[in-house]
Amino acid sequence: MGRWQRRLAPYLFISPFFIGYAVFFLYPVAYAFYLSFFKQVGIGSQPSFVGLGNYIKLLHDAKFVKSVFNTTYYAAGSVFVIIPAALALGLAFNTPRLPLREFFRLFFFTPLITSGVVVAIIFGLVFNQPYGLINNYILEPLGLPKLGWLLDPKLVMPSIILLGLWRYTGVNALYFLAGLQNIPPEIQEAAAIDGANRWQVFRYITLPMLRPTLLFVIIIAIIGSYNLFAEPYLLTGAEGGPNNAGLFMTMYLYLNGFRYLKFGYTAAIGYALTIIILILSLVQLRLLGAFRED
Amino acid sequence: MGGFHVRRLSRREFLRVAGLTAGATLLAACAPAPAPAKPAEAPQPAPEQPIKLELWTFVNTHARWFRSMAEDYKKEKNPNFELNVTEIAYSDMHDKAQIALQAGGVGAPDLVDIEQGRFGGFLRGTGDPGLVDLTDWLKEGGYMEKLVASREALYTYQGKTYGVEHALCPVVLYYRADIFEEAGIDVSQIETWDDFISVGKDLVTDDVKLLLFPEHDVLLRSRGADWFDADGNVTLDSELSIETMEWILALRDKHGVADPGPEGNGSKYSTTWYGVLKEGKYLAVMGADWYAGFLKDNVPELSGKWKAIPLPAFEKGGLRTSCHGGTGNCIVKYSKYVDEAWNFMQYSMLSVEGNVRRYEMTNLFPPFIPAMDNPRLRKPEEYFGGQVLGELFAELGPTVPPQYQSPYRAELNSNISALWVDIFQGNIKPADAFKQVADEIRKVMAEEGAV
Repeated sequence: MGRWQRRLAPYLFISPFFIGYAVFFLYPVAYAFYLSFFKQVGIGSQPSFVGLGNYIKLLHDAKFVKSVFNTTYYAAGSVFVIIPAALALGLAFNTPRLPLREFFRLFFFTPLITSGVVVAIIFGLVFNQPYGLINNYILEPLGLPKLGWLLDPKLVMPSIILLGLWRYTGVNALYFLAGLQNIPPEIQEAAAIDGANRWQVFRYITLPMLRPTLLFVIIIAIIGSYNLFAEPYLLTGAEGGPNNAGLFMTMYLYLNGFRYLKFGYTAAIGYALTIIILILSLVQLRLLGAFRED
Repeated sequence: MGGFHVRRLSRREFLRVAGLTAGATLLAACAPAPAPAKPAEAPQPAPEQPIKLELWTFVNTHARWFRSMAEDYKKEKNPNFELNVTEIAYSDMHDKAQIALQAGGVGAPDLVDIEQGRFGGFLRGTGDPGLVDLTDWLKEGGYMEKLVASREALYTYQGKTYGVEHALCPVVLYYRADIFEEAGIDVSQIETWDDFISVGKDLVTDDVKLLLFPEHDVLLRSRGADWFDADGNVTLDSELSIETMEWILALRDKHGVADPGPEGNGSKYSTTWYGVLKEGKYLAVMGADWYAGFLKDNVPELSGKWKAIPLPAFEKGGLRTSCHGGTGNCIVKYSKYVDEAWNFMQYSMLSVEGNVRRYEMTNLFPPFIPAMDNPRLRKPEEYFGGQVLGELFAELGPTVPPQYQSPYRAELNSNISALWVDIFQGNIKPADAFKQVADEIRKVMAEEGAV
């Protein structure tokens, strides 16, 4: 009896987390999968089985395809714009004799601790065509025309990436900084003594040794991009602004689930999102050699 | 090693037992909730206990009025009554309310304001919105004859009325009287849009426009049509509808008197729009009665400079108004206090005092016929240069055209809203855009068996 109690005690102590996890995560995840094979629309409605119908419909849904394109656009911006910027910033943070180093680290990190809602509202003002900061204080003094950042479908995604750049560069730079500080300086010094220039040290020593950090940052960025919701929703409206130019997959999911009350279809969108993230993450892991044994 | 092996087994066993228990709990949780008790049979709490009702609204002017009515209700009718009014932003409030109702009333308020453009969405699927059917109560209380029928139609589906309308919503043209008068323009001569354009043209400069693009559906209703017809068919792509949109674009392209506003999307509710209005960059804006309250709240600097005239007609002798918006106050059927909520609704929404005070506080002209002649609705308005707006609204009231409800209106609104900027910029022809959205909605309707 005593032995039993002793054995059970640890499980009891950790059970609150697992019960919460099961009720608020596992159950919805499993139920959504089940629901994705059903059609259910409206308040008080009952599901009716449609098999793969929802998934087939998704492939023919122009708005869904557009939302996949937009979200992928942002994810690409995240990987090819935000991450290189963060890497550059991380290298700068790592410079030993940089004045006010601690201040800069904090300075670039603060955008992340600000609520996404607040950020989106402020950027709405920044991008505003007649009164906005960018048009009036950057473009106009340079004699450039005022751009419709959130009005021109071609500029909507770049605007959202600009917001992402401001918000997420700092935190990614901190990840890189942590990775950089784990590289023993002796190796870089040895390379320098052997005649490698700074670029060669970076390319052949620092970057390969940063691989685990890079892998982590890229996967987190991709997952974060596909899950981004508050910023584009508030910046462009639920429909993603003109011509659905800023419609993210999460927003299309929200529209179908919370506005049109198409619950089964929404569950299918959720699973499509999961499948895309899963495939991209696996591709990433493979490309960056996470499965390689070394 | 052996001890470790034993421990691992028992852990597995434990997990299995735990899994089964958790699974059983989950299954119990998945089972559909028992059907809610009929509202009338819900046990009423002992009278000493405070009755706390929650009301959601998305308009701050409504919230102010509800709070004021609740205070008096507490004094006059029930000292234990308490009403908590929560203001939530438009889209979020409707989304939240829909989800709370779908969840069987979990987290739902007792009373909720539902805007007509979103009400259809509540009827989607089963046609049972999770709101109390007020039809019998409205009939028994003799309220059906006292309410404007075309307004109540917005909240009625398959013979059941779920909401009481706040406003008659007659549409007028608000204009900058100071500037028109200075230019010596006699607005009483304006009958048609052509008249308005020809007299207002001279006030337009590079920086100043005569008018913001009027909303397409509102104009269309002033011409006797709408995005849906009385039978719920989509008529967005009708000839009249397309022609009306082309007419709106011609205001800019042919006459040079209007544009889609500072943000290019036609919005007349954004801070940017109110900003340019303060700067005097627009001299007129089409709006319903409630927009008078919005102007007072958001552009207080221009007090005394505005006035209103009936909406110009498309042809001589044509309709001089339209209807725009409207919000129904509804009772959630999962509320613990359905009877008390109905009592409060009668006290506020269905009384002369309530309707008159609402006009005083919010400029919503009552859809409640016994209140329409009240002298308190005929007070000169300081904000509108001493004009008696109530007289204008009362005069137009009986001619306000009907608007037809559809469970698909919310989705149509949502789909067309993504195209306005493209239509305004000329990237897509009105005919093509309307056809595209109309076909999308027809397809959805066919899929859901609504046709």
